[in-house]
Amino acid sequence: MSTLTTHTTASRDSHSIGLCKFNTTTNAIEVSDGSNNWQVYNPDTATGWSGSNTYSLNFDGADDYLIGSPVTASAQQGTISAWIKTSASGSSQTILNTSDATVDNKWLNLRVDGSTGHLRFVANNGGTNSITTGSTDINTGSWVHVAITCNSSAYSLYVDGSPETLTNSNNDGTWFGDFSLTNLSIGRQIRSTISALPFNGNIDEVAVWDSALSSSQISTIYNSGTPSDLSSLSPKAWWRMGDGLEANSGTTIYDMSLFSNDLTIENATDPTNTAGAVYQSDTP
Amino acid sequence: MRTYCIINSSEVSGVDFDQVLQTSADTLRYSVDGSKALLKYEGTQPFFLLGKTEYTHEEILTILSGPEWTSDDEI
Repeated sequence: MSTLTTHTTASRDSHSIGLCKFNTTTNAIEVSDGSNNWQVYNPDTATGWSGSNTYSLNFDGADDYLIGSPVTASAQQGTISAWIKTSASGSSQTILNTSDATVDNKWLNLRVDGSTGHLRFVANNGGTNSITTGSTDINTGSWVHVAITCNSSAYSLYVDGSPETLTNSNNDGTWFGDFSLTNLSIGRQIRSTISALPFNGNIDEVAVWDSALSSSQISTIYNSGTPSDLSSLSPKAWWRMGDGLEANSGTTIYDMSLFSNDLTIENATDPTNTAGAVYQSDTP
Repeated sequence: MRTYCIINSSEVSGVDFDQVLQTSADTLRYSVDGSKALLKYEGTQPFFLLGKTEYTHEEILTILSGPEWTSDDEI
């Protein structure tokens, strides 16, 4: 998130089109537009945590989803963390997907597996699917914290802060940086020819890192079942699902990390409509 | 109340996206063979959908979970 304010106290010489300077007192980067109007970007004040978690996003299981540009696209290792609450069983449901949408066999998908109800990560790097499945039923209708870490050679899955016993098939450590990515979606799998595995339920506080967090850090994020400020863990993306700059309104879900990877709500163009609410005051 | 309709893909060009909840033709969910598309709206059925069968959320989820809308390739 960037914090922008405007002031007019600085000046430029007559030859400058604009100015950019670093303020050593405030650690702010100040950029002029060439007419003595200054934008001040201060990363020290950037925090996505407003002191509470009030909203989550509801997905209808039919076609709602969020989409944006890929994040940590060159990373060979990383972490995905999310809070989920399912409303249906029997079908696999996408939590987060990232893919090269120019071809149909380059994608990574974190999901609730329809057949087992367990957390599953499936990666396809142009060949056989790499499938890693956890051991706990998370299709329960209650809030659950899920996470996956990849250390570039293998995955770990976590449910409610604890590591899962894994069932692996071709677990090859494929991660975001192993092929070119064109998009990232939440709540639906977006590939070149397939758009499916919609999520039916609520998703909250999704974050991505470009490093494999430790089990201790995952436990800290779980925080005994209560989401908390992730800023100290420096996520590369952090979508608060209603509690970010979107403030429970509109079709943009702002990235509340420092990297502005905002997402767009698709197929729910009236997200504050009370009858078909996307933003819901239903949180872990 | 949110209501769902299924149309033929050939009818997508006639959809007024100001009257449905979907963003555009590009974001629609299509059937496995691409011949049908899903629409949804709040309140009164849009004029251009008159005559189409309306489905509740529960009803449409049952339809979407069938082989016409969910492919084995989706793993």
